[in-house]
Amino acid sequence: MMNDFFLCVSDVCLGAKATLLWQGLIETLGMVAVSTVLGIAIGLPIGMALFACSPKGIRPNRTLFESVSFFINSARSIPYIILTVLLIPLTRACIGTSIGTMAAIFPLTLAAILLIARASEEAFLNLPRTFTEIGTSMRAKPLRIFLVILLPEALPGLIIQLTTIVINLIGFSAMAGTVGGGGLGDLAIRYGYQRYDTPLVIAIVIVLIILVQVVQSIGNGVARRIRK
Amino acid sequence: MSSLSVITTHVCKSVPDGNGSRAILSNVSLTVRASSITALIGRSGAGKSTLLRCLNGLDTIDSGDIQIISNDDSDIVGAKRIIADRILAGNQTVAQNSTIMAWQGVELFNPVLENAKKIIADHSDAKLKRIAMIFQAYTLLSRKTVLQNVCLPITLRGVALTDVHMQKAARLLADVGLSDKMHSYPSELSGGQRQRVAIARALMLDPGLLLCDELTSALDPKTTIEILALLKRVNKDHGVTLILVTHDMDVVKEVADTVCVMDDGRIVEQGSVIDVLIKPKNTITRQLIEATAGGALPPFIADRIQQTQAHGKDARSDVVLKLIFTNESSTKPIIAAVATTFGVCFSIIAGSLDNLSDQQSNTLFGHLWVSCPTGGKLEDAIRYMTDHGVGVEQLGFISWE
Repeated sequence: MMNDFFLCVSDVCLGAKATLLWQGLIETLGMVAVSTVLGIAIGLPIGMALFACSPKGIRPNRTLFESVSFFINSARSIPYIILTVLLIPLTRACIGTSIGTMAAIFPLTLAAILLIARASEEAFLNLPRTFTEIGTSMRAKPLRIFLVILLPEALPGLIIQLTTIVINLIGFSAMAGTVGGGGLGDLAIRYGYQRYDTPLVIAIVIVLIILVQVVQSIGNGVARRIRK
Repeated sequence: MSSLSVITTHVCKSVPDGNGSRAILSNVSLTVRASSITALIGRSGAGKSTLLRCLNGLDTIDSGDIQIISNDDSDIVGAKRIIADRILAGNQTVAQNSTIMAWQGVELFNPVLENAKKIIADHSDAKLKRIAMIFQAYTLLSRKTVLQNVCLPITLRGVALTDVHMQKAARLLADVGLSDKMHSYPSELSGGQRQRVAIARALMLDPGLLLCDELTSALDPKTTIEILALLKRVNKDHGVTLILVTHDMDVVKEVADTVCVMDDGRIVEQGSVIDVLIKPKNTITRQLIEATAGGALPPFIADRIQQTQAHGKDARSDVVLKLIFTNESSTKPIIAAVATTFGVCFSIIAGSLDNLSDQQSNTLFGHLWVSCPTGGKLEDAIRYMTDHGVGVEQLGFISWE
């Protein structure tokens, strides 16, 4: 029984399916990497703004805070696969097509932005209020308070949160197949499930487990390193 | 650099609370002399921290007037800047409704937002930021070294650190006795050392006014004494005006020369530490004094004191007196004199001796609770003690079984 299993696994690794697996991994990594980078670039400033205009922030603005907060909450309460489908018209408008890896990156990036915005706001909220006040009492500009005090102090927490988000995005990327985006999840469904290729599914699961473990260890390692 | 003095007049502030609003500061009028050490004392929620935060612009006031005064011309500009910042940081409408300032030698200016902005643009030179604040906890940034933390006021202005800044920071760290910890991280320091770094950092911009919010509350007694000694030295060497918020009368005794007692958003008592400690007028002040070691009548005795004298054959009802000794009376053998001259013999119930020292003098003072039978020459004895500078208060009667 065990012998059979290992034979199948090696068959997957050495056989023609290895190419498929490899390609799926590259697609998954690509989608997750691009959406993470864009998510940080856009989501982090949104998180900063959200924290700044929160009732206890540097520049309280109730209307702005409530409306952005409401938008993020509503978007996050839509199941990802439905979000992907709902976004098809917007994806087509922005990317030019609604099919393929590029088209799958669009909703994934939106999810990343929302997750990172909320997570960074929380990371800032978790800091002692004194940190903001030290800056205010030294009469520093809000942006400088963020850059010099809040961002560096929140960084270890942010890295931990980001790790969880990347792992979430790996999970989300499995649904990229809906719009023909490829990736490991898509492979598992089309070849593994629909063609009854259990060894392939097992191989994909193993690859995903290793991937998630690696991401988690990197995240934990970096956070530990920068925490003084 | 000259130090700043503070005058607040009728400062009021309230926060929304349920369907109404709750006053945090009501009619607070306070005067703090330049280069003095003033303690704001009161129980939790008395409004003392809020007052401190208003002085610094971390909180806005609803009405009233806060003046931060300097005789130095360049400081007046700086002070305007501080006020202007306060207006920008706070709620616009609140700021517009209040007349926040009247500067010595400067026209009263109506703090409308545009005006404030213009003043900031005109005087953006940062040498004018003269108020520094030290917090109780989380004062240092965990991912920056001690030296980087001390340089924070410079970094926060977006100015590149130069050797001059580094040397100044190093000198301030040497001043607070932490030269060897320059490159350590805050997690490697003790609580007292962290507060020393915070003090060094506060001095980085040569403040004229240093606000300390409960900065010794999280420290052990020995470290507290060390930090207070350091603050005293800072006050003397740099001439900086200090305002300390505390709930500990020992801190007041140790370091302050003026004390201001707050309760429920009001100032209930204000004066020199010696006057307030020796003759507290307000119940809150008394409670705060008695909360410190040795200042109170033991509760089991206090509970038995009655306002009227018990009559009966078996009960021996004594009068209970509180005697207050100050400098001149604390060194004379007054109790013995009373016993020999008038034949009045006191039983000592409780007592405390303390001393206060400031730049000018040392004051020895003490409280003594005594009881003695009524009648005889008690009246004469009390008159004798009053004549010799002993404060006498009659607390009531107590029956000894």
